[in-house]
This record gives sequence, structure tokens and C-alpha cells, in this order.
Amino acid sequence: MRKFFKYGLLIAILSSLMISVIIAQKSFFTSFEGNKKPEKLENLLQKLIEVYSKGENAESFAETNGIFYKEGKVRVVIELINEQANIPEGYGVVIEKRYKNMVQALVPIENLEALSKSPLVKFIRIPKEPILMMKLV
Amino acid sequence: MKFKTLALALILTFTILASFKPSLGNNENKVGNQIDLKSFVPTTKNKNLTLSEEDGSIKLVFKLNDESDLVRLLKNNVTVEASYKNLIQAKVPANALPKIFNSSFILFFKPPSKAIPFAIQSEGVNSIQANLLHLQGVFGENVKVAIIDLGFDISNPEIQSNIVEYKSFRADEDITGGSLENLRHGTACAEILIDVAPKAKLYLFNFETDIEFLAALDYAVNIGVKVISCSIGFVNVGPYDGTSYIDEAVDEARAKGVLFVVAAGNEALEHWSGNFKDEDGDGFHEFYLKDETNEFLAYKGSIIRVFLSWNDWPYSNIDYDLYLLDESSNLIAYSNNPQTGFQPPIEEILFVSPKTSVYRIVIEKTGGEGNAKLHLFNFDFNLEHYVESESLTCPAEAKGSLTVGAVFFATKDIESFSSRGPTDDGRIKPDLTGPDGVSTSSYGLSNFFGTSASAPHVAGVATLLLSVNPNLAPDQIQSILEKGAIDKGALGKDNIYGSGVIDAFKAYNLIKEKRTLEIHAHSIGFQYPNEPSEELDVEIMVNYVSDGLTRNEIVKPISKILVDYGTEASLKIISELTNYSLVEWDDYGIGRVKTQELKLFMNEDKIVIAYFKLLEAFNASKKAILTIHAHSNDFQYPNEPPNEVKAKILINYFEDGLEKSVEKEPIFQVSADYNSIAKLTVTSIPSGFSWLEWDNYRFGRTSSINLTVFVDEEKTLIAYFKPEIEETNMQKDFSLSISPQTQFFFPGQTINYTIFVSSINGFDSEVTFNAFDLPPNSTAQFYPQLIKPNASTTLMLRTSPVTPPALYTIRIIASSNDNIVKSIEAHLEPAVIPSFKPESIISSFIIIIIFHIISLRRRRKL
Repeated sequence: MRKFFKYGLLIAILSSLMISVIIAQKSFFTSFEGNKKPEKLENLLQKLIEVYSKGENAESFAETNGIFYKEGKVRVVIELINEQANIPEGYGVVIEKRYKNMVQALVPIENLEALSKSPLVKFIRIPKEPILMMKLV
Repeated sequence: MKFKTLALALILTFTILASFKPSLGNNENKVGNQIDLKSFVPTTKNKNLTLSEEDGSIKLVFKLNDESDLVRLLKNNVTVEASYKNLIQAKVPANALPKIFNSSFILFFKPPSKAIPFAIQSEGVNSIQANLLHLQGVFGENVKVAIIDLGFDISNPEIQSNIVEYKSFRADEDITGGSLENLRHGTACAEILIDVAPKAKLYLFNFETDIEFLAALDYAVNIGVKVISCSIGFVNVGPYDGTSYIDEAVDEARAKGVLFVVAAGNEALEHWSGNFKDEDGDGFHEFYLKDETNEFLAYKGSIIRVFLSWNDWPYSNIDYDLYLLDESSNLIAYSNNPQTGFQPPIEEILFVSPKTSVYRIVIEKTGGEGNAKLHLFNFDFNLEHYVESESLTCPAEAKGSLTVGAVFFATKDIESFSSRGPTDDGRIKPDLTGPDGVSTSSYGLSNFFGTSASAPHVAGVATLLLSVNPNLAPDQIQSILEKGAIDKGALGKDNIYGSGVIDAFKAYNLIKEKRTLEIHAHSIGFQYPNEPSEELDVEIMVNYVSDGLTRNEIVKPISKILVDYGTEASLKIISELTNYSLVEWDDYGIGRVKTQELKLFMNEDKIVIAYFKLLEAFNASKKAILTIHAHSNDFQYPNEPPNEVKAKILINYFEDGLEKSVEKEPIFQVSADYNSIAKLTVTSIPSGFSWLEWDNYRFGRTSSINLTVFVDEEKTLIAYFKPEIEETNMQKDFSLSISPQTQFFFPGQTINYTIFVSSINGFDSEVTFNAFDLPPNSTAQFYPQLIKPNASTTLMLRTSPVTPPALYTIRIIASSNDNIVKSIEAHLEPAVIPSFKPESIISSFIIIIIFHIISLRRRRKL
């Protein structure tokens, strides 16, 4: 009886060590998100899509944040991976201007996220607006 | 019941209040009109706008969204006096003004422009002595100048007759720029330029976004404008060290011969820069000592624009966030873009001030390792803690820009707000300063302040100089303008005044000045200052500029030519000498140049000497070895090919005084008589190649298949052939493969992947690689970066000790010049280190004990 308990205890300790290793390994993999979804959309555009997806007033959000959004299309700059790359087809992109690998275009809001995932696209952002160098005195 | 009613009332009240919550968008929409309204209040100060004594109405010009909106305007009891498309001149009852001003169908309004009996001229014209050039008949005639700005009034009588072309690069193609502010700004800049250079050919281009700006710049360069004046700036588009994409475009324009003159900016008091500092460890930046806020005063209705960036471009993993607090330190706006290695290092806040009040800016660090250098811009409002230096906007910090700061026209003292250098890479900026506080018909008398006004003054002077001497290159113009400037501030070029205040007359006198070009031709036996008694009798073609005109002249040494200051001259020997051969030019100060044609920048008096070698008399016993090669053009010296091209080359040469002829496949050598002539001809080109050129050993390339050489030393002569590409109907393509596809790593480890590129249907273009979706804090490099298939490259992925051990999928994009793009994935998994968690040990121990007790009981029962 005592012998049995003694071996049992030993088996228990060894087993618990093995189980703890398995649990630890599992938590090791799941404790980080990794980079499965790198964001290639400017933060404000992500927020605009979120507002739109929830059925909230996307026009108002866009206007407040200086984003051009009209008839379901957003004005963005699509930074392609290089100067030779072209805008991927099938996303309803209306090109306005292009300079090297940067394309200013109107993109249907529902296609923005999918477009950003194209391997040809490096980043999608809102166009930059200039500052006048006139001084009010 | 009472409670229910009370609750309902509370909910209703809350709902109603919430519906009245001020919307930034609506406020923002009204801002333009509110500012305009303020400036159009009929007071004695606003002489353009007066109430009619008859009916108390005001005469205004409206720009409507569309012509059809006239019906909506008429509903406000206005009386239309005249119209042109969507521009309406109308009398408006004073009591209808507030309603009309807030109407969405009105793009903007202004008092009617009146014909000006005499032109308004910028005070800057006399201040920079451009008037003295006008007296000498210098008006900038025939020089193409572009102004790239936000909007123009092309009917403005001050500039109308100078406009050669105007073009809108905006998406809506509205040359007015869609607002009165934009319209006034571009027009006022054009007015100043025309005041300085009244006969310039004006090209007006407007835009709204960065990409439209780049398109406008590209267009201006391509149509051949010589000067561009630009009074705008960008922030948060890249580092302030001349490497942003906008800077690069400006550099390209300059390289193509366009002088790009840009306003430095007005941000000296509205800018803060320095390293992030958090001595108390609470995560918030300390602007000065322990002060974690930076205050400013903003007026009711004004737009607050705060921009933060830091030197971790293009994608940052240091995360800073930007907050705007009100006077009671309540958070009212914020920007918290994530920076996890995939996003640019920028934060921006736009906010309409609901009241005149003090606001506070706060910066917090929320992630990442290390501290970055910050740049904070707060447009239109002076900061409590400001840093004057490094306050240039983009592209004022570009290497290719001529950057202009502002001085008040009457005193020529620097404006306190004028942006200062240096750039983030340590270059001195601005380059020059120009006058502001000047009069234009757009802004009124003595009312146009800022570097916006200064830049077109400088661009105007550059235009005047170009009309005197159209051959001046951008570097030469800038050099003359800086040399002719009135030095102010620290001695020499400094980060406040640059080289000083622009002076048109001094710059003009510099280009009117002459420099002497003295030309000699010597035997190499006489080295300067050991002069020979006689010069060699050679003819030299000299191309130079005098009095603004390009001249070609054949001269014999010694010759002296008077050349315009700051221009380029070139010299070339045209005599065929029998006894001498050209060895080199001594180009005075720069050194010796082994070239047939010498080019010089004439910013000082120069003596140039062509050195010749005396050819020895024919001596059959002295030989020189000629080595003949035939190479594919893919292999350029010293990159030698493994095999020669199987071409045949015929060489006629002299050996022991007898003419000989040999036809062979390279490599081969002949021993030719010293000081004799050898002639080579390609007689057979193998299939798969076409003829390209001879490399004539030190004297350059020649595309003729015949080559004549003078045998005065041992020479290696290479015939270059171009490989022909076989035409095929099959689509050329390439494929990628990777080995291994999945690897394990410990944080801090470097992992290598090999990527193979295989040619399909004869694809042989260069392929370049990029890696995306890298693990945080890691870098990737390809060795080599460019390859031609079939070949492989190695992706070297360096992780950092702080890279989280997780699963990663790295995208590798390979792209060719002919727009073929392929991608492949590499997987990265953390190497597993067994680790023990106390809670898991205890829990599993308990489970085993229970299992053990149960089995023990069973045994007992048995």
C-alpha cells in the first residue's frame, strides 16, 4: 500500500510536469497575436470603415476629420510597392492623379480594406493638404 | 410612476442636449464664411464694402456651387445685377446676410473687384532695388515662370495680361481654389512676381493635395518653365532632412534646370523640436523643465491644427500620441494612431475653437523602445514653449529648393515668425530672405505678410536675371543671388537670414560683370608656372556667354576672352596635329582632366592649359603591344567575361615599317611600331549579338565599327557587342520559390531564407525584392537586392531581442521593370523553450492525486 502510494506520487509529479510543459507551450503560442494582420490602412480610414460598417453617419465622421467622402467613395492616396506596379483591378478605383508609385484615387468605402490587402499595395492614406505661408498679423 | 416620468424626462433632456452637441464638421464648414464675414463687416476700415444709403443693401459677388443655385439665392430678396456662369453680382439686404453667408450652395463671396486706376505695386520692388533694373530696361521678358499655389483670380488686372497658361490640378479643376482665401493667396503671389518682373510669362497651376502638387510640379518642368515660385508647405510627409518624396521631386526639378523658389515657412514661434524627455517616468513628454504641457491662445472660430512627427520614418514602432486639452485640462481632442512598425510616425489634430481660450498640447509615449526626436507644429498660434531652429516646412528643407525667409520690407529685419534652419541633416537654410508686409490688390495696402510674400520677390529677381542671361543654370542663379545679397545677422550664411536680403541690383551687376578666360597650349614638358617661350599652334573651339549671348569662337593660344560672370564655358581642340597628341587639360584649380572637351564655371578669372605630348620620331625598333578583345555588353571593364564573343576583327598596323594585316577572333595581340597608326574593323558578328561600340582606351567610346588608334603606348581595345533577345510569342514571366519556407527563431536571432527566381519563356529582366509584414523590431535585407533569373537571393531577417516570439508570415514581393509582380510567403515560428507555470504544475498534480486515490479505492474494493 505504502509502496503503491510512493510510486503513485512519483508518477503524479512526473505527469504533472509533462502536462505543465504542454500547457506552457500552448500559452506560449497563443499569448501573442503575431503579425497576421498588418494594417496597411491609415488609422483614420480604419475608423471611417468602422463607422460605415456600424451603419453610423460616415459622411459626418469624414467631414469632421478632413476626409473627402462623397457618394460612397473616399479620396485616398494608394502607395504601391513600386513605380511599375498598377492599381489592382476589381476594386472600383477611380484614378485622379498619379505620381510615381503614389496614386490619388476615389475608392468605394466597402472595397478599401480588401484593396489594402493586395500585395501590390504598400499603404493607403488620406491625401496631405498644404499649409499657406501667408501670415495674419 | 413618478420615477418613470422623471427618468423619461431625463432621457429626453439628454437626447435633446446630445443632438445639440457641437459637430466639428459643421463648424469647420462654416469657418471659411465666418472669417470672410468678419472681414466684410461694413466698417470704415473696409472701404470695398459699404451699405447703400438708398436701401441699406450691400453689393457682393457670389460664387455658387452651380448655375442652377441662382434660384436659391433669389429667395433671399437679392437683386441680381450681373452674372457670368456661377459668378453672380448682386445687391443683398443687410438683414439677409447671416442667412446667405451660411448657405451651403455658396462656395464663397467677395466685394466686386473694381477697375484699378493705377496698379498697386509691392513696396518690395523698391526695397530690393528691382526698380533700378526696370530703369535699365530689364523686365523679365520672355522668361517662363510658374506659380504653384492653391487658387488664382485669372481676371485680376494686375496679372491678367501676363498669363500664358493656367491649369487646375484639383480633382474639381477649379482654378479659383474653391475659397476666397485660396483665391487671394495665389493671386497675391502672382501680383508680386509681376511687380518685380513685369514682362514675365506667367504659368499658374493650382492644387489641393500632395499628389496634385507633384503632378503640377512635373507638368511645369515638362513644359519648360525656368523658375517656379511656391508659397506653400507640407508637414508630416517625411523627415525634415531633404529626403521626403516631395523633396525628391523638387530635387529632380532642379536637376532638370528649373529653379524652385519656396517660402521657408512662418513657424519659428509655432514649432517645438527636441528629443522626447520623460524624467519623472509618467509617460508624458516634458517640453521645458518639468512642464508637460505647451500652451497657446486660440480665438473663437479659428481652426487649431497641431501636427506631430518624429524621426523614425517611414514606418515607426515607437508610439507617441497627441492630446489637446482645454484651459481646465479637460481632454477635447486627440490623435492616437498606432505605431507598431507598419505606420508612419505622425499624429494630427484638427479642431475648431468654440471660444477664445487657452489650450494645452500634451504628448504621451504609449509604446516602443527608445526615444525619438520630435517635431511639433501648431499653425497660426504661438506656442508657450517654442524652438525657432529647425522650423522649416517641406519642401523648404529640400536640397533642390532656393528657400526664402521673410524680412519686413521697410527695415529689412527678420520677421520673428520666419522659419529658421538648419535642416535635420544639418544644412544651412534659408538660402535668402525677401521682403514682406507689402501691398497687393488681393490683400490690400501693406497687408501681405509672411514668407509667402517673400518667395515671389526672390523668384521675380531670378526671372530678371534670366531675361538678361537665359543660359544661367539654377546653381548659377542661386550662386549669383546669394553673392549679391546684403549680408545680415551672423557674418556669412546663417540659419536666420541665409546669405542675406535679396538685392536685385547687386545681383544684376554681378552678371554684368565679366571674367577673363585665358587659354594656353603647352608641351607637357613645361608645367605651370614654368612657361614655354612659345605656345603650340593649335585651334581651340570655345563656347561661352558674353552679354547674355552664347558665342562660338575658334581661337589660338594665348587668347583672352571676356565671359559673363557665373556662366559656363567649354573648350575643345579642333586641330589635327601631326607631331603632338593631347594628354590632358589643366582646368585651373580643379585639377587635371583627361578629356577632349573641358567645361568651366566662370565665377572667377581662369587660366586653362591644354597639355600635349610630343610624338617621338618613327623608330621601328620600338614597339607597343595592342591587345584586342570582343565582349558582350553585359560585361564592362573591369568585370571581365569568362569567354570572348566569337567575332572577327581585322587590324591593319605597321610592324618594322611594313604594313601588316591580321583578321582573328579575340583575344589576340599585335606588336605595332611606336608612333604609327593602327586601324581596326569588325568583319564578322556572331549570331545572337549586334554591334554596339569600341572602347578606345582612355579616349572614350565610339559607335563606328571602324577604329583608328595612334600607337603611342600599350593599349587594350575592346569591341562591345549587345546580346540580342529572341522574339517569342510566349509571355515572359518568372516564378518564385523559397527554401526553407518555415523557420524557427529565438528573439535576437538572424534567419536566412533563400529565394529562387526562375525564368519562364526567356524572361531576363532584373528582379527587385521587398519584404513586408516583418515581425516588430526586425529588419530585412536581400543579398543581392537585384538579380536576373535564373538566380537566387538571400533574405537576411534580423530579429531583435524584444521581437515577441510569435507566428509570423512575411510577404516577399518580387517585381521586375516590366511590371511583373510575384509574391511568396516565408513563415517564422518561435523556437519552443519548455517553461513551467506553477499553477499548471499544482493543477495537474491535484488531478493525478485524485486519479491515484480513486484507483487506490478500486484496488481496496477488489
